[in-house]
Amino acid sequence: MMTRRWLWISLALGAAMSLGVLGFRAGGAATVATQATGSEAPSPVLGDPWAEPAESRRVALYYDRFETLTVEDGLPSNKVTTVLAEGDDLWVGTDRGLALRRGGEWTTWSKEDGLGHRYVTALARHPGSGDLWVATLAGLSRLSGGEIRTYTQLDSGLMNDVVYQVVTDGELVWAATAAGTSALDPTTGSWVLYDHENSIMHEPWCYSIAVGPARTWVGIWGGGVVELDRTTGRWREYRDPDKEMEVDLLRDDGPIHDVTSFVAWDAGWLWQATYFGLSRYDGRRWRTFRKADTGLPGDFINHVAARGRTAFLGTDEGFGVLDGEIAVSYKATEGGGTDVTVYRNGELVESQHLSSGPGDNYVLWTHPGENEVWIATGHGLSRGVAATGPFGPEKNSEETS
Amino acid sequence: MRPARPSHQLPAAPPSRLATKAGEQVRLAAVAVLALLIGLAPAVAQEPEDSYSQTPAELVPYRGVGRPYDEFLREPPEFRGPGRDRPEPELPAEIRLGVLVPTEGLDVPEGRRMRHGVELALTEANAEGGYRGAPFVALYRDESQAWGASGNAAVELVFDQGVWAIVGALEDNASHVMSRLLLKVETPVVNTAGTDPTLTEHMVPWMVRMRPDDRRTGYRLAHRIFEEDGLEKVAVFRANDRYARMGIIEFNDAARRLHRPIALEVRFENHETSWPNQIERLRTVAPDAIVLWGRPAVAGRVLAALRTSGLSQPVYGPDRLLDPILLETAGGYAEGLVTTYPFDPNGGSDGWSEFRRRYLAAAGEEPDAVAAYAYEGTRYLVQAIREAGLNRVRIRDRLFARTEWRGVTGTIRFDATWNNVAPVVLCRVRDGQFVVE
Repeated sequence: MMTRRWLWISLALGAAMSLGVLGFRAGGAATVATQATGSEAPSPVLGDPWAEPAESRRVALYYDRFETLTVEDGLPSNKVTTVLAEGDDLWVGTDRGLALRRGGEWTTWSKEDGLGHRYVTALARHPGSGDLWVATLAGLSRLSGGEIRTYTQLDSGLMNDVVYQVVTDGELVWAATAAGTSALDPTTGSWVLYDHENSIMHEPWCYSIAVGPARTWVGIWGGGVVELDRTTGRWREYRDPDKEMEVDLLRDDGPIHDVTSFVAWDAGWLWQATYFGLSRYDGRRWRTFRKADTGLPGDFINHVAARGRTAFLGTDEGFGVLDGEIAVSYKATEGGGTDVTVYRNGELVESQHLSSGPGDNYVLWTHPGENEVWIATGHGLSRGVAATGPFGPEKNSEETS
Repeated sequence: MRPARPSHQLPAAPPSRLATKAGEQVRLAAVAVLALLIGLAPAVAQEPEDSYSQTPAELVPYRGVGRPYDEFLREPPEFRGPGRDRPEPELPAEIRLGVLVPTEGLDVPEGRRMRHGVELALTEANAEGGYRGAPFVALYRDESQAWGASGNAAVELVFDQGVWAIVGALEDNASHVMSRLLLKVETPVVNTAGTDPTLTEHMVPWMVRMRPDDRRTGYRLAHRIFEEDGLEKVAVFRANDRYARMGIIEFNDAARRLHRPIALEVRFENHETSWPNQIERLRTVAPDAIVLWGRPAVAGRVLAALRTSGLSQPVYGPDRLLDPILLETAGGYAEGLVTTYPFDPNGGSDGWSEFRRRYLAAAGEEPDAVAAYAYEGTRYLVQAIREAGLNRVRIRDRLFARTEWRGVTGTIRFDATWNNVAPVVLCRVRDGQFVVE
């Protein structure tokens, strides 16, 4: 029996075909116009996704002070799921709603205010409109001009109401859902939908999206990473070459595992987080990073963020920073401190204890900035401040890409 | 006739974990001494010390190329987040559990039996006093909608209904969707019917599985076909759906590792009513045996078509085929069909006949594996809640605290992923009934 969602999509497809506004891109994905004047998605940002950037971004590996915000400071919940820092504005997603700290005051939104669901999974700012897009467990919400509109699978091209991530790319808003990936062009209202029936992904369980020049990568639960070349419409799949769930046969031979929990891209490097370790792809070869031989805080990685050529990891055993050569692991200790270890090429070179630390070692999200990093944990939102003096064997370089 | 191949020492049924470990230690010690004597110590060091999920040595992937870079799923999945110290709430009027079952499509009969199993378990638990006097109540949701619907249902159950845990789903695509979601919302789930081996292979520390999976089925069928029956050339005829796509993988891998790669794999659609092209291809290949993999109602029709087309080879299949509806749709053509089954359906364990009597009285039909494991899983969950109290993290901890559970299906043995690795049995259709061999 046809579900309401597919019924809706079928009706939309039929209507779009009759109006002549349904097109098929080179990649074979149907674009569904949700307005009579809808058109196809705009061209992507062009460029070589694997090129080393001409300019580097400041990235700090070492943080020596931490402070944590909790419900006592105004958060809706201590379980912080995502964070977006924009200047003095701090947007915080929790399992009990969305919060904004502006000028020391907190404003919160939840389901009663129009948010799709109280559980917020991801946040993204649309560069063109300035709208804030909020992924929730029951729809994709858009905060625009003080109003909230929520898109669901019943009234839009959203593939499923459980939205795990939202990112923006040029004009497009990409949403990774439990049953496929949707991309919305807010200026036209048209959606592009991808699942196992019209793309290379063999399972539609999409959990993360990363965008780069001319490319979109989708992290698939059980399907590795799929890549859409948006200039040609062609798909490519990256899977663990040994095809076995219980082993990784060879190091650096591809994604470490097919169960992808998150993907991130910046400065020519694609990072794949899994619950078995971390992988990195530079357009030619893969590298594998594990707790045992690299110094990651843990192999169960909930989230990876990329800034320059450095990865920031949220694991179930702490927060970590990795630039490929150096891995710094931060583990909160009883009493509010942190044990820090520094590995260089897999060798422990330094360990320190700091008197402050993240709120919890169960880290769900990180948001790195120039001289700080925000860490969403199971017990509060923590901020790490970049060390200004020598830290162990190193100090934060002025410009590290 | 293909030349005889060397015998492979695949055990008829996986030995116990302890026996495996002890045997492995003895074997490793012997091999180490031998290797030392002949100067092959480096080769010995490449042998894995213990196989994942009691995989027989002959079927361990890449066993001939040395130790892999890393071996996963050897340690229990842990939840390291906060929540254990959350105080127990005031006793609610009822203890709600979510249950996902199919209510539409081909899986409705299995969904009905699954529901009966849950109901019987909760009726008995409530007769014992429920949870501190509060009755357990099941909230049923349909899993048979489009992909992803189980995620929406789980969100509603957890946030709007306040369930303490979820039982289900029947189909593994629904369970996969739910498992990732429940990792986010930190709610335990007891899977009672899924057979996809990958379901517990993602390290999500919130799901346990009661029913032996298709890894066990694949290994057992491979042993039966290639070792016990001495057959060489096997063709697979399977449904073109996710259940069969995932289910056949371990059997196909086992066949390849035993040096009898599958000669042909052809597929049928669940809505089809005749399969002349596929059957002709099977006839052309002339296999020694056919492995049939699909849902029982459709598989029964396919089996009848194979026989009426003159294909008389032995036919083997997974435990899901052991279903009254297969006997109904295949009729007399089901005779001789050999399937696996998770336990002796005619009375393997001490408690089975008594369970069968209670289930029959309550549900008005015979129980099967789906009903039995739904009952087992619900009882297992009730026990965990009683021990842990009303705290989802502590309930989760209790679910992962046992490595064995004695129930009506016999002894459930969990591996490091909390997947039931108890040995499975073989059944044959004889005189219109499934009989344990």
